[in-house]
Amino acid sequence: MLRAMQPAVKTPPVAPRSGRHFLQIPGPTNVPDRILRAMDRPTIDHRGPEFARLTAEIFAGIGQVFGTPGPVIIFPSSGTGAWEAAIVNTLKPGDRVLMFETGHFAMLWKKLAERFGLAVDFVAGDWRHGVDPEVVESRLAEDRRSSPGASADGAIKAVMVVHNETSTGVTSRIPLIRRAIDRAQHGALLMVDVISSLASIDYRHAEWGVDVSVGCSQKGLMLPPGLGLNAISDKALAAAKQGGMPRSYWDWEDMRRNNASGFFPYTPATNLLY
Amino acid sequence: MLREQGLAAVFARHARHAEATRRAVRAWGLEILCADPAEYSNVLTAVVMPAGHDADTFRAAVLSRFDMSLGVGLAKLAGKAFRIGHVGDLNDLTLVGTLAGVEMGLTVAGVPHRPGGTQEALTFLSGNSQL
Ligand SMILES: Cc1ncc(COP(=O)(O)O)c(C=O)c1O
Repeated sequence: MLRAMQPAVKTPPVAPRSGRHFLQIPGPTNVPDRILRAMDRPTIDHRGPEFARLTAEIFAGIGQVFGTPGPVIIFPSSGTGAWEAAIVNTLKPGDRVLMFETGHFAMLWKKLAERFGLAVDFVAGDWRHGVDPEVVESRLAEDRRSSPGASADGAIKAVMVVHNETSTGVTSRIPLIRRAIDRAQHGALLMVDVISSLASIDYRHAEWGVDVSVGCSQKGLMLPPGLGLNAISDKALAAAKQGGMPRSYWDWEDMRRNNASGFFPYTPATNLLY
Repeated sequence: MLREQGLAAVFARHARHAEATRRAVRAWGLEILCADPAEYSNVLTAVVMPAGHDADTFRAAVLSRFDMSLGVGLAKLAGKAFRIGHVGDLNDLTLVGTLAGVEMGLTVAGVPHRPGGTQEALTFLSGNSQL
């Protein structure tokens, strides 16, 4: 419709094609015809009973995909929005976080974190390797040694890693990173970007002790772009209750209160949920 | 659909398709960007372009000749690498079609390589049943 309303712009002619286009980029991925057909239905009232039944089913199933019995938040957003939500719900400006240069997406997440005033300890990388668990352990152990009081909380409040670095095709080993944090006996939150691994590569939010897993719809879930996801641990929920940053659209608490009865605090991406 | 297939089966399918892709890349004599086999991604394979050849010229050739989109090299990898996505709704034959498109594209774009990567994948896939 938008395109139909625009004045004609001259674009080079496209040669006629036969057969299907091959979309072999690492996301957005090919959407199965069945899902396309399911979406091709009239939009329903997102405050009506049919919608509440739909969301009840979705919230009952989505945790399995992350491997968690805990809450999963579904935002109408791209993956970047879900990155932002993880940060503004749990951290505050000036908080120190540990991040790793695994590739382009790690760099983008770091840039986003810095815009919110986080002090990022950024471990340089060559874009051919994942996160080195030994570096995680040594950085956290060093943080504890140099922090006064020597409590389990050093100055570093969160370790933030990209599980599958989509720019390089390198998958970091989250269980080894978890063990490294435990060996350092450090209390930092573990936040993992599973945007391009969710529902494609083995992942266990709860078993691996992840606090926030950040996902989206347009990769392993085989949906079009438009949903951003956060799976949340009890520890991350507690951090959000006590603090975080000023937030509104990305607030977990508003979402959870509304989701409990099958609804959203604002208009969801209705047809993506069919 | 994920529930029908079972997550474990989905993970196994991606692992198998990723392995077939890596076998093809090696058979072409090209380099996989990921340096540590323990960290290979089952979702995509980034391939290093031989020196002196532009990944975007190659991708453009694949798109115009074979109507296939491959992943672009991002930021400092621009022009230096391309990415083959093997994630989402994919089966053996879509993967084989993808690899055939890459192999033909390498020829069309004049990128030096050994022929036969797609055959490697065929051999692997036909010798390993669908999990
Ligand atoms: C690992 C990773 N993180 C974050 C993003 C950003 O997600 P989006 O483009 O949906 O905002 C992407 C997108 O490709 C990604 O692959």
